[in-house]
Amino acid sequence: MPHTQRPTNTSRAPRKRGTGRVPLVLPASNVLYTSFATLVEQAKEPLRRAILTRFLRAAGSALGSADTTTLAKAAGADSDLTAVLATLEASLPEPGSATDEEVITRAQLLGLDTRQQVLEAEGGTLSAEQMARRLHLTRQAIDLRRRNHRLIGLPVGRHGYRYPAWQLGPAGIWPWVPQVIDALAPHDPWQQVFFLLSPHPDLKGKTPLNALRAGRIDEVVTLARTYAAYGLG
Amino acid sequence: MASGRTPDDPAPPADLAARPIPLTTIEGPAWRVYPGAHRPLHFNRQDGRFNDPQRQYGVLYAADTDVGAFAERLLLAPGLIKDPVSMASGASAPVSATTLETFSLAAITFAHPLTCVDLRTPSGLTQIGAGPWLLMAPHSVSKHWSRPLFLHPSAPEGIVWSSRAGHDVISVGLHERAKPKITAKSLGPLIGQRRLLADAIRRFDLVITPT
Repeated sequence: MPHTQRPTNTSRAPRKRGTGRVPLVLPASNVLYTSFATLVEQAKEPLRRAILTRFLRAAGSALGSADTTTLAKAAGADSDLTAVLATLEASLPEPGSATDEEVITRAQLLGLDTRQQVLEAEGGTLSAEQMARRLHLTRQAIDLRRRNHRLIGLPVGRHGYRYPAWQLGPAGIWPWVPQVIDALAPHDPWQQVFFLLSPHPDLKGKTPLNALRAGRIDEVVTLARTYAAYGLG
Repeated sequence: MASGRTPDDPAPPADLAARPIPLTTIEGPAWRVYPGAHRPLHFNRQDGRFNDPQRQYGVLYAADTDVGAFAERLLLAPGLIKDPVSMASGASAPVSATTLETFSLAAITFAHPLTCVDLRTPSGLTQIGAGPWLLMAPHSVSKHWSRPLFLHPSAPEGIVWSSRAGHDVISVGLHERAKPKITAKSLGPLIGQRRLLADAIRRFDLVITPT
């Protein structure tokens, strides 16, 4: 079975004198072997080699310090990225004893998971093409609406933008979407969405999005404008 | 003792100008978080807890610590996309990485100590005829207390109170009449304020999302 991580020929491998360690010998079809081969290929380019070195150093440190519970949780993760993040996060000290930089790094790692949750929340998000099909528009028209602050598009790096599906009602984009975007300037689209999906103290713990769905548009636009200009306090 | 107002009857008492009000002096510095593209010294005439409903004078909002200023301006309630059960067990509050790049920190200093209405304690709130509810109420309620306090014969230069963003956060609202005594200096984007960020994360369980 190609996915096994059990060495296939350790009985024939020479034991390194004095270390007590058994060398790991992998068949070329093994996933770990092919992954390393890919990394070695990447390392031929200096910048990639520099980053790879840091990747491996962080991975070595995190794996070395991870306990069985952490490893089991990471191994059961849905994606490679989630498994890596879970292992890295567990390797960082608790905020009470961590340095400022360690605290910030941990918050950034946790933020990756939060970002994914937001992308999947309240009906998930659509690509520009999917949004264009739903609205019977071109992709360029969707892009224009985003740039003109008529539609929220969440930047997701080289993948472009993801459009929260909750902006769509039975007759197209809800009329309150541009109003809320205008009210929440100067915040970026991610912070605008965080505002809409977080409980608000003046809505008895409900989210602004829930209130908008209930038709409380003027109230939410006022709260959005206050958050943008002042905050929640 | 004059009768106090309640959340069900939240208008300020008509005789507020005749009452002694709790006063304190603050020496600064205070701290402000603001959009980096704007000026660090800004008296807001529209939105805030103690703005004048008639918009005839502005209020500069700040806090007594930089972490407090961060909380006042940017903090969202914990519980993003979470159900009430997970909120009760402790949930984090998100802030986008772009926010940390586009919002800046400013130090607000005073040429002379400023005399402010002191609403940090229940007794101070009782003295003006209110209660702690005033600081938890929607801004549409608390705004109506701004003008009577501003017009009080003692001519206060601002208001200090405990923020609902966190009980140990002291908010400062400085009236525009104090402008000649106030200087603001930008200290740059929040992303460069590493100690502030780490303290805010520790205090409010923040997570920073890549954008």
